[in-house]
Amino acid sequence: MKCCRYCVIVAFFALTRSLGAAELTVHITDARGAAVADAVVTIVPRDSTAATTRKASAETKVVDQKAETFNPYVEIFRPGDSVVFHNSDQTRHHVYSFAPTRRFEFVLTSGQSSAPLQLDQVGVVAVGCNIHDRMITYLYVADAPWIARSAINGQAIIDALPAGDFDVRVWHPQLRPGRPDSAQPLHIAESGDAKQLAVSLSLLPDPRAVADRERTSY
Amino acid sequence: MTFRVRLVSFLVASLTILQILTAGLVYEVTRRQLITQGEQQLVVAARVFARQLDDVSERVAENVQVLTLDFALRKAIAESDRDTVLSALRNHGNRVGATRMLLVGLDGAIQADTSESSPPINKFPFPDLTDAALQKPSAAIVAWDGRAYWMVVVPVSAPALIALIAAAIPVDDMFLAHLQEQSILPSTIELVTQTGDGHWQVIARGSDQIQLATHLMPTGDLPGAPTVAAINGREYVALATHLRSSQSSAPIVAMLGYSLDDALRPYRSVGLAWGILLALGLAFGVVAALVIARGVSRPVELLAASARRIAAGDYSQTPQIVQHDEVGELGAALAKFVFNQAMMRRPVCRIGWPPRARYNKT
Repeated sequence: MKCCRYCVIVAFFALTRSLGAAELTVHITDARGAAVADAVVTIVPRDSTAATTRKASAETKVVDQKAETFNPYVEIFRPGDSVVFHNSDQTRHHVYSFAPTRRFEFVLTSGQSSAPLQLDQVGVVAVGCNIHDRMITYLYVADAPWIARSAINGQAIIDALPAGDFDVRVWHPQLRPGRPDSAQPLHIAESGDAKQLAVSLSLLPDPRAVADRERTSY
Repeated sequence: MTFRVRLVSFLVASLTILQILTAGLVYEVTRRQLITQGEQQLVVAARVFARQLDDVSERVAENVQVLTLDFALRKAIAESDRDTVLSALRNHGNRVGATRMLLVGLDGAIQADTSESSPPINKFPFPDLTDAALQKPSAAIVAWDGRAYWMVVVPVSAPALIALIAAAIPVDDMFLAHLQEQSILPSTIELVTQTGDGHWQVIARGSDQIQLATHLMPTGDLPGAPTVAAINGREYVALATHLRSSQSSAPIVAMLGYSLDDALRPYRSVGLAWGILLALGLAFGVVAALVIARGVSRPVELLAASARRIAAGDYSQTPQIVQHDEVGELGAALAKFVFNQAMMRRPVCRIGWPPRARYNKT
């Protein structure tokens, strides 16, 4: 029954297809105008009773650890999906999360993969390595009908948007904590024209950056 | 008062006045030089002091930041294990010399406070520090509960930002004295803050116990440029420099004082030797003045005595002044006058020879 809550409403999706769906491109930049990658764009219909889309089956995605870096930095999950951590480094990694929605802690030796961890609850799961302070990845678990992650060029593309009114929310790991996500209204006309949306984010420094190059030579 | 006494008095007075003026001039020049030197030293010292505090701030912030990387502490914070958090904070506070450690939520609410004696607080009182700490550890000297503290705020990441830890490290007399030992800071240094009624209150001071700021300027602006001031009979060059503080804290000012008396102390032995030399010079000058006065007044006195004898009708002695100047000419003229008078007044020869008319022709 749990999965049923997130099942596909095929009829609505098919209907929108037949009417002609729009494509939305969100351009995300930071305060200096530079493209922002790894931002998560979610689109939620304003009419909460409207039917939404959902993929049919749960997925398992792999987060790799290579060169003391989690890859990818941000990964999108649907409730019920699973994540597997793989260690591609020669060193051990002590993977942990204290997120309220999913807590775990284990050590992965070189070449080892973790057992699949199911992510049932919506929310952001920040995962780190206790050995390497700068290793961090975010598992973004959302049940929004449409969701996309911005690429290196700062663009997140969402297609098959039906006509209607929506809220476009943008989240990024480096947004100031305690503040609501950036949200903008979006109207898709029946004509299904492609839409462009620009979002500027004020971000904190990247926690993966090395703190002080002056004192370290490694 | 005789001519000789007046002459000696004039010479001695001139010499004494000259010596006093010279001594005063040298003292004033030295004092002005020391004031200039003190002003320059204070400006440099103020810069060095601010830099020292910044350096120490950075080191303390780094130390506190390292403590927050402790996995057990982060786990306890993430799991809201308050007792463990308090215990760990006390332990880490001891390591960095903090007298009070606070766990601050991302909304600024106090989640844990190691202080048992201070009144409890709900919100962290220096929000600009927590705001800055979201990007990197922040530190500033703040006035809190009537004392000066280094307030160091560091983020706690697990691995996302989950809270902030604030460490309150006292900046007290001992710390300032320690800084003075390590650097070129002047002997008088104190941290002052402004109370609610605008008065300056000393919250920490170095080795010198004088309350410079409260004497100098009980209220209002403290001197931002070097200023000479007399306090308790001693002269100081004073300079106030505002320290980097929190916007929510009362202003913290470092008051630096350069004691002119202390600066003049090395010159006192030189001054004593110089005074002795002056006294010897003055004694020698008095003797010389006496000799000179005697040389000048002696012929005048002889002439005066000769004049008195003439007035009394005594032409028996002529003044014996051998000088090739105006006094000598006067003496010679007087001697000739006495001789002539003596010749005219001597008894006439019985034979009437030489006749008076003939004598007068010669």
